[in-house]
Amino acid sequence: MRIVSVTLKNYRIHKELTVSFDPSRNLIGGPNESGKSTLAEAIHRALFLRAKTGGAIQKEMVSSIHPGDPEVSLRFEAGGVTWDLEKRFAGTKGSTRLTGAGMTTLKDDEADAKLTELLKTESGGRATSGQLASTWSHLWVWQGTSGEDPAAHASTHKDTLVQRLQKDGLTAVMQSATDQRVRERVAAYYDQLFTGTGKPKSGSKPELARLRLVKAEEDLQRARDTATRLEQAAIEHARAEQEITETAAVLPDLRQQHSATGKNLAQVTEFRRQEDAELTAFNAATARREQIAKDDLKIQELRKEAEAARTALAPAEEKQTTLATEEASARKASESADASLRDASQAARLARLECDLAGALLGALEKTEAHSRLAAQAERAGAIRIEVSRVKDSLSALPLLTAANLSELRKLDREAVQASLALDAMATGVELLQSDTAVSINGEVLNPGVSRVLTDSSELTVGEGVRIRIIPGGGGSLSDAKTLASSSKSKLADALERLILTDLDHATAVHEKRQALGEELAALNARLDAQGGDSLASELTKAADVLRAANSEVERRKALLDTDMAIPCPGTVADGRAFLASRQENFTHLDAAEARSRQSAEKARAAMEAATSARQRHTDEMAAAHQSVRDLDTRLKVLAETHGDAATRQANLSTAREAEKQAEECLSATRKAIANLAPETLSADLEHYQRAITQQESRHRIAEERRITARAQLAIDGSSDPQAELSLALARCDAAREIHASEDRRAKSVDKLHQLFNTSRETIDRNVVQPLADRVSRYLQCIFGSGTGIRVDLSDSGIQGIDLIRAGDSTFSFPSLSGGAKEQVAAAVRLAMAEILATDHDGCLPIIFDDAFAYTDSGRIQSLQRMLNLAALHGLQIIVLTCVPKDFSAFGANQIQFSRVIQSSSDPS
Amino acid sequence: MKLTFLHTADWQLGKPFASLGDESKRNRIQQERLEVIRGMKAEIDSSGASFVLVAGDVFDSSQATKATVSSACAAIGSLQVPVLVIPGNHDHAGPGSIWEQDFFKREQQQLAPNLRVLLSPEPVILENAVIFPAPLLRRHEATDPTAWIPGALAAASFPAALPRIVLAHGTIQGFGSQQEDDEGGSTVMNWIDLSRLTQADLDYIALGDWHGTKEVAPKAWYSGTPEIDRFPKGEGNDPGNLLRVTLSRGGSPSVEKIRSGRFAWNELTFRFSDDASLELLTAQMTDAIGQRGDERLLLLSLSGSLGIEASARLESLLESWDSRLLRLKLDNQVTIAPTPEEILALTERTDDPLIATVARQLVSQIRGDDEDAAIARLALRELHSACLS
Repeated sequence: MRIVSVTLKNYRIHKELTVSFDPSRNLIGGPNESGKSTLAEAIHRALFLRAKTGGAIQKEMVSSIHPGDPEVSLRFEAGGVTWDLEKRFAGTKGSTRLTGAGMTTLKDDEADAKLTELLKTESGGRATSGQLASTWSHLWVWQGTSGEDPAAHASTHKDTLVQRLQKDGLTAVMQSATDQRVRERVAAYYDQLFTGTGKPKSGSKPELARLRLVKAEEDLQRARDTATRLEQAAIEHARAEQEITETAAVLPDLRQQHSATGKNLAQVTEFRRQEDAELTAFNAATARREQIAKDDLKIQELRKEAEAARTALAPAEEKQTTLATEEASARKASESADASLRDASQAARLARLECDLAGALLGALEKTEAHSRLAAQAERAGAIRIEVSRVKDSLSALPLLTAANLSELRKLDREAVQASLALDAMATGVELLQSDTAVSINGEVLNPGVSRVLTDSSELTVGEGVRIRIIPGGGGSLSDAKTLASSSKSKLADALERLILTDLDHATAVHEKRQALGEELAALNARLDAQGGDSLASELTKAADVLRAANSEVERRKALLDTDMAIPCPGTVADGRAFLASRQENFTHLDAAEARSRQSAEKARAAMEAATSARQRHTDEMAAAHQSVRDLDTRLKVLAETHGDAATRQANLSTAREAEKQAEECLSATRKAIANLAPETLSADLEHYQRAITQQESRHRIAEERRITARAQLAIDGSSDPQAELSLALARCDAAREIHASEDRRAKSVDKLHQLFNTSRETIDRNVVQPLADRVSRYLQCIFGSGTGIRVDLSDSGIQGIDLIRAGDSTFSFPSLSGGAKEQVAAAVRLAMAEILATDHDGCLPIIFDDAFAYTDSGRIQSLQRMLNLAALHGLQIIVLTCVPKDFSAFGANQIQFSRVIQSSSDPS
Repeated sequence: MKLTFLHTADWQLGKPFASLGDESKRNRIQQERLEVIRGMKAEIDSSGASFVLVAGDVFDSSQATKATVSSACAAIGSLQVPVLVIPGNHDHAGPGSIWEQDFFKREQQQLAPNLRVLLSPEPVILENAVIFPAPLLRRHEATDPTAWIPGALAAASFPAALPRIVLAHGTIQGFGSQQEDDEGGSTVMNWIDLSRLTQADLDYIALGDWHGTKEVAPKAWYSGTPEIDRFPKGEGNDPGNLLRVTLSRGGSPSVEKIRSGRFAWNELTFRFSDDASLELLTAQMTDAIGQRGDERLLLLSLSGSLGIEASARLESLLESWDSRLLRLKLDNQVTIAPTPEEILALTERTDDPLIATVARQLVSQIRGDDEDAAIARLALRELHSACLS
């Protein structure tokens, strides 16, 4: 398909514009807004937009300056025929006319259908506004879209590209419907088994089988654990029994050893006790032997001592005689002095007795005198007492009235008088002066001339017919006054009666008389006291007693004197005193003489006692010496009796020595026996046997406990058989494993199939796109030099992306390229695609670049022209719209220049 | 005086049969073991057996459940004659074992008063025999549990007329459960020195542990399990019987094998030569299963290779057989080998270049035994299936 020419009428800024195209190379220059893009748009819409399209898209086309509906007339070659297409865009009135050279003009729908056929595009000639943008977008590079990723275009046209390439006899093949169906079936199966990321899907058969296997393995483990536990318990039970057997075997021997050791230890204790006894015996024997020797030595020493004592006795005997003589003479002198003293004492005693008698005589005289005086006083006192007696009798004859009594009586009397007076004042007096009839008051006859005082209500009866009630005044108080008067009188009478008095006057007289007698009695008592009072009688008695005693004393002393000598008897006290003085003088003289005699006698006695004492002392010493000798002899005798004679003693000593030796031998034998029993190790042995027994017993006990525990673990309740459970669990696990393996293998086979389908399809797709890639590379090599290529990334949905591969293996993804490179790579892809697709369009397709190299620098523009030229050489119709046509001067294109001022000329040049 | 009794062992009641995935099938096979015991009553009645000797492993576990204990006691009780059992390695009388549980004792008393559990290695003098039991007191006895018997025979005198019977559970040279247990591997324990017993003055040695019926020495028999509980292993293994023994003191015992097992445990090996051979297998399997799939257990070993379509068919067939049989134990070594036609149909699709490309890539990967090849084969099968629908 090739555009020959186009005419625009009333289309946007163009009033009428006709442009003719070169079959290969066209360059349309012109400044901005000169209508270049409008031209490109008009051709595109003529080919694809439905003529009856209305709305905004139609309104855009309508020129604001040129009246009339927009019209586009396009001449193009397709299918070896030159076609004239006329399209009027007038909304619902729009029309299409298509005329092939030498053919009938086709209109509207027919024209559109023919266009679809010619352009091999679904929307050819009748695209809606929505479809417009994507129609032939790979050939129309609209201003501003030159840098877009060309992968989308390639993808869109992939099928056409593939078909095209297949028809070219290339190796690429296309999947059939069966391929697709089977592939989808496998994919669906795969999706049942796997997730999007290739993981097993939960709920899928292999996954369920795996879960069942996990569960079965867990069950198996549990069953194994149970079985193992039972097995362990059985082993433990056997071990415990083994241990019980072992300990039971060892224990009796240990106990026997322990017992034997215990016995040995007891024996050692017994031997020790024996050793103690034997040691005591040995010590005793030693002591006895030593005692015998000691006794013998002592006997010999005593014998020597006795001899010495006996020798010392003779001189003492001589001294004894001398001392006896001296004692006898001293005794004589003493006896004579004693006789002198006796005489003197006798004389002195007599004198003292006389002296005492004289004193007694004097005392008796003094006592007699005192007694006489007291007897006279007693006589006087007797007379006073008679008087006192008389007064007392008078007093006792009178009532016993005190001053207080009298005063009380007077008070009572006053009260009685007052009460009587008060009564009298209230009472009524009645006096019968004269009556001829009997008058009585309160039943009591009242005689004439008699008056009555009435204190109470009284009835006065006169004769038979008159009864008068007399009521004294005062009311209630009359009764009180009457009561008071009565009680006052009564109290007075009682008081007088108690004191045995007649009345108050009598009381006053008695009182005065009692006072007079009292005073008299007091005077008499005073006189009596002057005579000694009550004590006089006792003093007189005492004086009589003293006198009697004095007389007896005289008599006693007289008797004591016991002498024939006449004793004078003084008559008076004075004589007595003179006698006493003479006798005292005599006594003093004789007493002194006696004292002198006593002194001499004592001196003599002392001398005698000293001699006696000396003699006695010596006698004692002699006795002691004799006794000592006797004692020694006795002791010797006793010792001899006890220990025997010398020969016996010697024999005893030998015996004792022998006994000592035997005791020593016994002791050493016992000690040896003890040593033989090794007592120092016995305790330790006993301890370690005991320890071993304890340990073994403990082991035994623990083993028994372990056996009980194991037995308890082995005891089962009979609800299940662990061995059977294990067998079942094993079998289930095996079955689950088998199912899982089978499912897993099946899943793997599906996975494998799925992957094979994918990779095979990709390979096919790659084969499809490789010719495209080769062509793109060829175009790019015009710009980037040899070694440059592209790689097309495929995916299920089409071409995923395009990478630029520069010489030196550096790869750049399209989005990473610079703006200029993007334009150039995109252009190359479009050219390559157009080249392939052109095969369906008589080897030619137009490709329009509207300001498509805006980012390309002028240097690169030169090589770009080489690429465009190559495309032209390969049969494509290149139409470049640019603001800077001079950049493309080397392209050798048919150049059409637009100016900004639009003229309604048919030839813009 | 002739004595007749039944010798059996290895009942293994309560065995879980865990490899049977379906619970109702597990219940069925467990129940069948009880039915076999009840079924012994007919033999007892007809033979006039005086008692039943069970040489160990009455229970599958020494910790059997109450339900198992109760049903076992009920079944034993139904036999009415004395049933003498010893603990074996499976139901050893170790600490915590069922034998010492109150519940077991109660159930025994109430349901199976004829049951006598011999827990001590000491002679048991019955009215008509002397039993020398060798109970296992732990799972693995390191010493010969019958070692005491010759000494006991020498040490005491026994009623002269009574036959002397050993009741033991364990392994003798070449025979024993340890070699054949599914778990396998353990060193040989519970070893019985048979020569020592055969030299002693005994009349019969009733052994348990080996699940096949076997006379291992004169007068010494393994009764085997009365109901088969595993797929046969080795030639001459003959499980599913019990023994009727008639003997007298000093004589040779007369031992008769009585068939008691009902469920069939079979093995089938098949190699696919081409896709057509699948029809052959289908025919064989139809014969093998018949109408009594619920009494059949089959170990099916498949090898060879099948095309994509045929292997898909095999898969659905296996699903049916697994459901119909009481148990289908499958050893499936069959590989998917697409037929040339199947390969061409996928790779030479000129109109569907994508499918063809994918298929060619897969076909290049399906050779080999590794996991990737297996996955590639499966993927090819998926692709095949996707193209068909």
